[in-house]
Amino acid sequence: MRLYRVLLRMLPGDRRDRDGDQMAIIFGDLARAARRDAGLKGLGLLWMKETVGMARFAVRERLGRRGVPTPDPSRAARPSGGPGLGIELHWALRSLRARGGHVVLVAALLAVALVANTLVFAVADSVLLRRVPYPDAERIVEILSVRSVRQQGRPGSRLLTLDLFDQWRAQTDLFASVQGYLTKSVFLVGEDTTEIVATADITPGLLELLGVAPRWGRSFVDGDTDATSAIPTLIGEAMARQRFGRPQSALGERLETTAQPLVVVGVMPDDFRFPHGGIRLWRAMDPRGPLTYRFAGVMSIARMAPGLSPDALRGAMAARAAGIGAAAGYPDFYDATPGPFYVAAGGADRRTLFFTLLGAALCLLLTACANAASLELAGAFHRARTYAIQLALGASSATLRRVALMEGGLLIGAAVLGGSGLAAVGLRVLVDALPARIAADSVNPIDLDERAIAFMAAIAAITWLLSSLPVVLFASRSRLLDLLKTEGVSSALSPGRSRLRRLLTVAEVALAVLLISGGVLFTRTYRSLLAIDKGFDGAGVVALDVALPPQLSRGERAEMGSIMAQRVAAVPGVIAATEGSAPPSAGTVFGAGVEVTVDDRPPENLTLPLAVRSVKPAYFSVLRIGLLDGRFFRDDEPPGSAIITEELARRLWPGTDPVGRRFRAANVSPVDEYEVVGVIHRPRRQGEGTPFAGREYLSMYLPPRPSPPPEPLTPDELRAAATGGSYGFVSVIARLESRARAEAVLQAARSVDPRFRVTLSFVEDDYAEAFGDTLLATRIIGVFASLSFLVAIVGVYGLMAFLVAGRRREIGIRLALGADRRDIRRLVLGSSVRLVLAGAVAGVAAALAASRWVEARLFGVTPTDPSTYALVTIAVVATAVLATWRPARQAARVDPVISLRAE
Amino acid sequence: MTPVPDVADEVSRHLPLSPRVFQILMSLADGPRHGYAVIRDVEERTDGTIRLTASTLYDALARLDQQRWIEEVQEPADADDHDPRRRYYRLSELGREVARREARRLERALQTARERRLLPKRARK
Repeated sequence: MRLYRVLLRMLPGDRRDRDGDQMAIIFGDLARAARRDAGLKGLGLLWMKETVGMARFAVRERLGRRGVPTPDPSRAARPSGGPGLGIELHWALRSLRARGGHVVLVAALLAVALVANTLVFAVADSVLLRRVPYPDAERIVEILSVRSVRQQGRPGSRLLTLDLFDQWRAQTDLFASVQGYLTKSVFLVGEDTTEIVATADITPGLLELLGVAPRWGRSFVDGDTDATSAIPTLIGEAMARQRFGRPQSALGERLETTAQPLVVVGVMPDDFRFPHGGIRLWRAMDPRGPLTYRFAGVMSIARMAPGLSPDALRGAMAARAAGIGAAAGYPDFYDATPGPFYVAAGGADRRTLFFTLLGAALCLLLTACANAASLELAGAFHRARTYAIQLALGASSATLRRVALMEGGLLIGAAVLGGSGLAAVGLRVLVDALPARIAADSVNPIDLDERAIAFMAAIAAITWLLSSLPVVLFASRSRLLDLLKTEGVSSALSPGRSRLRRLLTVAEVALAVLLISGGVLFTRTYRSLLAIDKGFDGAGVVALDVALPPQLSRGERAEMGSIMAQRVAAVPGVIAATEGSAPPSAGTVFGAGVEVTVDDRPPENLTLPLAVRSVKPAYFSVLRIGLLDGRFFRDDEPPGSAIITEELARRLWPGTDPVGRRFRAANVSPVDEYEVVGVIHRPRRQGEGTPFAGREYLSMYLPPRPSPPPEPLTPDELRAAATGGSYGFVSVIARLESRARAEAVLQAARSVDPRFRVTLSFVEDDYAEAFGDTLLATRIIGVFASLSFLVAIVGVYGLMAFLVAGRRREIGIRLALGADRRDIRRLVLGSSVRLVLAGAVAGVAAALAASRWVEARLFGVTPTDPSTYALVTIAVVATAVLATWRPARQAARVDPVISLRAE
Repeated sequence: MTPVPDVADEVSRHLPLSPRVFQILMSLADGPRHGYAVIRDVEERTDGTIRLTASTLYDALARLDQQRWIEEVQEPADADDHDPRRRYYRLSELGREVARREARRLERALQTARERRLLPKRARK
């Protein structure tokens, strides 16, 4: 409503006093109705309609004051003062219309720039800035635990053991409520499809803690966790619509899973994203019940007791931690702190990404501003003499400023109108283009909410002021009166007066160069990332990820995998296939600190980050991993054999041949001692070898363990299966002749059992996906750079054409005095090149300064890479010369007689 | 209620009315209403073809008030949704006359349309 008050300011004061309150009340009613009936889109439309309506009302009110009964601009002129508002508006419109194509271009550009800023803001706001959308969210905390002295100083763990959970639940003077949750995947079984759905198991009071409720059906109650037949479950609105047509129809329906069935008791609205946006099912969980079976504890979330300050909570938690730890099985050390439940998805690197993108969007906006300002200046020059005469007759110079402001206002108004539509479409495109992790993990829905709309309004206003500023500065009375003293059109274009436009053009070129340099740096980074040696040949390698129902025993799973690999290998166009191990991009067993002992040296204990993987002999041949020494596995490889990477070899036996040597590694397989049979070139995981990777692991490969015979599950396994806890995954990898075979391979894999969920991905795509952030930056900055480049070139062309037109007389004189036509062309081209070079130099300087910011996100290219900047500068100057060709030719064709006579 | 002659001239000068103004006058014809009620009434009667917002309504009301076609009144005692903040409006005698003349003008147009067989002779129920 505060925003509406701003809108009301368009009206004259007395009208506002009289009707403003009533209008605000009614608008409030309308806004509520629009929001209810058509959501945010309806609200946006209403605001647009209201803004236009208010502008008309305001114009009519102000014209009415002048005693003009109908809005007829011709009658609005006053004899003594400047023209009336209506006339001014009319002038502004006419001036815009006179430069048709250019105006459309600038308005479109402004629209795109506004939308670009708004969208990047909307995403950054949802992902990074905005708090979680729950009432009093700042009073919701997580209980972060540190359970050993060694971990002191690190951020605590969100996982609470059940004893700790009960202990903290009992601290009712600190917390109004403490609730727990776990995220899992649930295997939904349909008639002919199976689906794995990301699920959160939550304690019944959790929704109440958050302050939310299902939109349809009911929330959880305490008794829900006692259900013996079907687990009471909430489902997301989208899933309800997809499966049952209407959300209401979902209520009471059963969902069959591979474990205990679910019964839908409520439907959560689509914007409910707890604990993140990927979750679509919520099951009622008793922390001491079957759903936490085999889990080390639960994740906690708590609401602070009313009246308790965050500092008091922190102090009280620290004071009680030791006692609580002792009671919950941590007598030696326990510490706990409250952490804000405000999931900033992603750390500092994602912040840089978004700030970089916001910066790029801002550059685009500034380019658009400069162009709009240049356009308005051109209009002002055009009208200057008319005004000057009016000024001489006593009109106010404010008129000129007002018309310029109106011109800018109309331009930006059009841009905002066009941009609003574009934003809605653009957001969908952007969300699709976002790396899945960002879009799905965001705790806030990524949408155009009030904050994004307010942001757009604010930057539109700033844009308006910025683009109108040059004219407002230019339009001083004395300057205008100067115009009267000189003669001819060219006077308005003398160097002093076109300096502003030159300056603006230089700025446009500089911004374009800045953006293009950024775009090139990111493109080169992305290419370098893709070109990283993966340590194996990824061409045509697909990974089939197969999820099997938990009721299958380990032996049965292995058998299924083996059948599937055979069927896949039989598909024409498949070069080789093997099963049992995921590709290097996924699914390794990691040991953060594995104790390794090398026997044939004086005893030395090494603790190494070691990745261990069991693979069949075919693994190496399917992936075409390079053998450096020794041999690959054989079909009957004994369990003690190991193949290690050259990095591990160098670490264990520097400078000597490792093949045939033995070492011990604790707890990575049933065998403790290994003999090295081969050394390989290291296959890299995604992101490894780049500055963005996490910890680097050394790897060893072991032959597959003999799979147990396919026998029924043990009671323990059955119990786990019944709660949907762990279902099996089997990986099949294959090398295809071409991408076109992928569909046939998928069919072959699915033919084994339609209940299995099989997904196929190309390993190279998985690797590229790890660089999704960089790709996003590359694409967005690339689009921005292209746009601003186009604008800058149009700006250069416009300015040169304008200058040539203004210098006809001078050119005529030069020609009359015997100048060569080629000299004239060179003169024009030269001044254009000087202009663009000045812009390029400024742009490169700005890019060098800005590149330090993004240095951490670059790879394979230095931020000061000379070839990048040289290339960009040459390209921009060359294009500018092309754009100036026509004006230059026109200048050279000036007929001195005609041009001199004309003035 | 026969209008005074000079008022009649005054009224004729404003015809035809814009659909928006006519609909607002119609809305106030059967008793005082507040602004939001006028918007809802107009929207319902025109099947959503005329959708007013706060600014367009008050833009029109300001002009109607200037021409003395409407006047502000106390909240009627039988108001459904009592809200002391809301202002109510009703038609003035002049406004009623304007609306009536506009309706007659439309009626004549309708009659002509029927005579020329653009429309069926009798309005369908």
